[in-house]
Amino acid sequence: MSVAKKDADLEHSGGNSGAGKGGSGGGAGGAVETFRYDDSIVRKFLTAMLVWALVAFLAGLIVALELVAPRAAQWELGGVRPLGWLGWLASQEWLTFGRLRPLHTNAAIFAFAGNAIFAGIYYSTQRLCKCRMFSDTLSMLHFWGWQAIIVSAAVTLPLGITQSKEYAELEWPIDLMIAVVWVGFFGVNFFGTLARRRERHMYVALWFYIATIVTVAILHVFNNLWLPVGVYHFLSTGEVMSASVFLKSYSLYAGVQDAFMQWWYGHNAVAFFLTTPFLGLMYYFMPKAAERPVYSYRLSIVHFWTLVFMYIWAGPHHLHYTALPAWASSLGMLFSLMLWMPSWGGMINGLLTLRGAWHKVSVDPVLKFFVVGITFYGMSTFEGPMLSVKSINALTHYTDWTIAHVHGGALGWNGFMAFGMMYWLLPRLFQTKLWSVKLATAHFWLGTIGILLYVLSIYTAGVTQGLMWRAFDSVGSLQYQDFVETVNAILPMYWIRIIGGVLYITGAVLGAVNYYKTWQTRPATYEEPVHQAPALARVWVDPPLPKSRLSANVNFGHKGDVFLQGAWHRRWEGRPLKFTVWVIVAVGVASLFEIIPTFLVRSNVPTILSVKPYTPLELAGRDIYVSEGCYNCHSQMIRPIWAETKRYGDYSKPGEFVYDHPFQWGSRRIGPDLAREGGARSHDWHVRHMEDPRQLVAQSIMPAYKHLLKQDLDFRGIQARVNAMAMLGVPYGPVVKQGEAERLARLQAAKIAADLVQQGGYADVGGKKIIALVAYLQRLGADIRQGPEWDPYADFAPGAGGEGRKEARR
Amino acid sequence: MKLSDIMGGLELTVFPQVALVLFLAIFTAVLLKVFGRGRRMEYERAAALPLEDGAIKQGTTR
Repeated sequence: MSVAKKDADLEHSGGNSGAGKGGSGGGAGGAVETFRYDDSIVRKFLTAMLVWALVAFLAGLIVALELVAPRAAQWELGGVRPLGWLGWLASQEWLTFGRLRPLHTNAAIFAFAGNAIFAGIYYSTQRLCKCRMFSDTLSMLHFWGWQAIIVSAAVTLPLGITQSKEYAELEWPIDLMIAVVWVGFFGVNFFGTLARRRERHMYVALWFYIATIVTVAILHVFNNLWLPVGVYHFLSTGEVMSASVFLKSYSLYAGVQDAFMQWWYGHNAVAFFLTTPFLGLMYYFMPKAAERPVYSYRLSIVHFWTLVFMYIWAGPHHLHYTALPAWASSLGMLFSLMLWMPSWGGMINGLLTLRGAWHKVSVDPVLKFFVVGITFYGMSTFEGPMLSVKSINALTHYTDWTIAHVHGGALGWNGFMAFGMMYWLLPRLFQTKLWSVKLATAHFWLGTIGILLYVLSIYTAGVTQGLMWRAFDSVGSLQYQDFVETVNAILPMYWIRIIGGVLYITGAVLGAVNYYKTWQTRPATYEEPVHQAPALARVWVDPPLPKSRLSANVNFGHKGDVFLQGAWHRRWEGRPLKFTVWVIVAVGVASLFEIIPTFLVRSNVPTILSVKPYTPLELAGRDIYVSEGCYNCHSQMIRPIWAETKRYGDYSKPGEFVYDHPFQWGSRRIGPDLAREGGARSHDWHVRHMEDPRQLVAQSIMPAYKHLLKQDLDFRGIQARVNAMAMLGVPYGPVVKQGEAERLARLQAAKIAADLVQQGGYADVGGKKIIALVAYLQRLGADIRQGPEWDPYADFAPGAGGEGRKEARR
Repeated sequence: MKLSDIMGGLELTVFPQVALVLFLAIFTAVLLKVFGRGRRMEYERAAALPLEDGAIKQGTTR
């Protein structure tokens, strides 16, 4: 395969003639124009992809180590603790699992996969459109803007600045940056290129890119509707609060609705950030690497429209057996099952593109990566629908199976497609030979074995733990009463995962070496081949509709036959605007049909009179819970399943979460559920447990939160938090009066501190963050045990909540 | 009476079912359409688009 030819392939400008008869490719009416492709932007994105890949994988390795570190640090060998140094990992404020895990996921999705997508899109769009990108300035702004977003994520997440919505953790200023960069820079640049294209027909890869850009924008905006706490407080009172209050925001939605929006977003982030753009890349780079057209272009059309129409519905399968209405979760399951077929259609289409070229797979590492990548797409899209079946989900939800599932997808599908694309692009972008095919092949094998070790061990861990949670003995009690037993049982699997991860990272390092060495042999200046193609005619006349082939029929029958001949879709394919509108309609209608009822049908969230707003101190504690990322390991959602109600208490009701902005249901139980934690243990237990969990639970793998016992609580900032909540409709009544929230918080903190001393606990933590967190934990799920008129302030300031607390909220 | 009260009383639970039928119908239509009597020639040309630029020779079609 030679690198880009110097001379333009004039044949193709005239190549439109080949389809002139059919119509979709014609319309080359303008004068012949010359142009160059911008490959420097592709080189930038590809380099960023590789750098962030290493960061994301390393962060993954660190969080994997953190899960084994507390126990490993305790191992003794002849009186010494050889792995004692690992204990350090589990006790650093900025490195706790709760703070680093979002960094890992965000880096993998938005930094690694994101830059891979951009590299591929910028390379292929120019060529498919026979047109340079719309604006080099926008390309640069897109590149540097995106890297700035990634860096701000890498800074804020370890600092505990988070919204706590999975894969949407970044706080509001970064959300705004994302919107500007995605829509303003990337979107405008891409659609501008489409508008200037010199090829009438938009190849299927471009459709997938359109769907990606449009849908991600919609998802991002609607899942990130928030009220910035500090800004709102400043605007309403003129008072400036601390930086942490300034950066804090509350989701407009609460509880069930928030969960619903989050997983509408969360699942579609998988669909439209990790699936559709990569499918676009597959439809472009697979034919390139295989040197033959895609197996079936028709199948690719079906693949596209079914994904666009169906994916958007599947989100609720993340919320089976939760407080979400049953109809919504059944619908999510149904659409997830239906998704299996188009997904496999796409997989087959990708693999069969290799028809007659399978022998190349044995010598070309690019094809090796693609074949295994697409196979993992098939496996993940079989597994996804399977996990969405309610009865299976009852076992697998909250377990490691979900983790294995996403890693099959991320490492296998996204990772291998990205690396395959990288090896295909390297010689072309750097206009030289790939430094070492052997090294690339070694990367492939290390990666493949790494993925297998990872997913097989973590599947096993998931099923093991799921079965242990629900096991009961001959007298009907839980067989494994201590949650920590079920964690202990899967720790060996966590070690195997670490080995798999190390192999995968080693592969990526080999890729980096290969990249560097190839880059070193680049020419002094890159050749920029000049291409030529005629501009598209300004006025485009669609070819006439075909005639009906029916003879004896009524007029309607003739119209139907014309429709069935399909010229309308071919017309669409030449029209980016109409096409985009239809994608928006598909995504929007699906979303609204699903979301509107959840928000408006009263019976979906029945009111519970005894559920009251959190007190100011509890609210501050809740924000600490959010900030520390506790939801990464602890759910707050007891499903109506025997084993769960037996272990944790009464199942969770939708009405219990009406004041939860944002919801904290979680998605994985590395530790036990906390929905009914309130009142279950003493204040002293909680303080000592947070100081060092192993003081109380010897086998615990939870990090130590010593810093919460040392850092002062920002009492003054609580007023801003309460007022923002009141703005969102939480009935705080007189508590919104200036200074009242701080007064009440101090009273409650003093009460808890006094109780703590009485229980034999520490005397010096009264004004510390830990007190707020304990207040929150002691409130969790406790309201439902109270009478309808109970007063959350009774212990320290009876009646302080005023009449507002009695307001029933739907 | 607030707007939310009116919206709340609208029995919107039928929405999802309507949409399900709607979407299945569209899916079936696309399916019939694409695999119906289409124009093979055009699809073949479209499929060859990625192979057009520069380096690699025009791929053969089926």
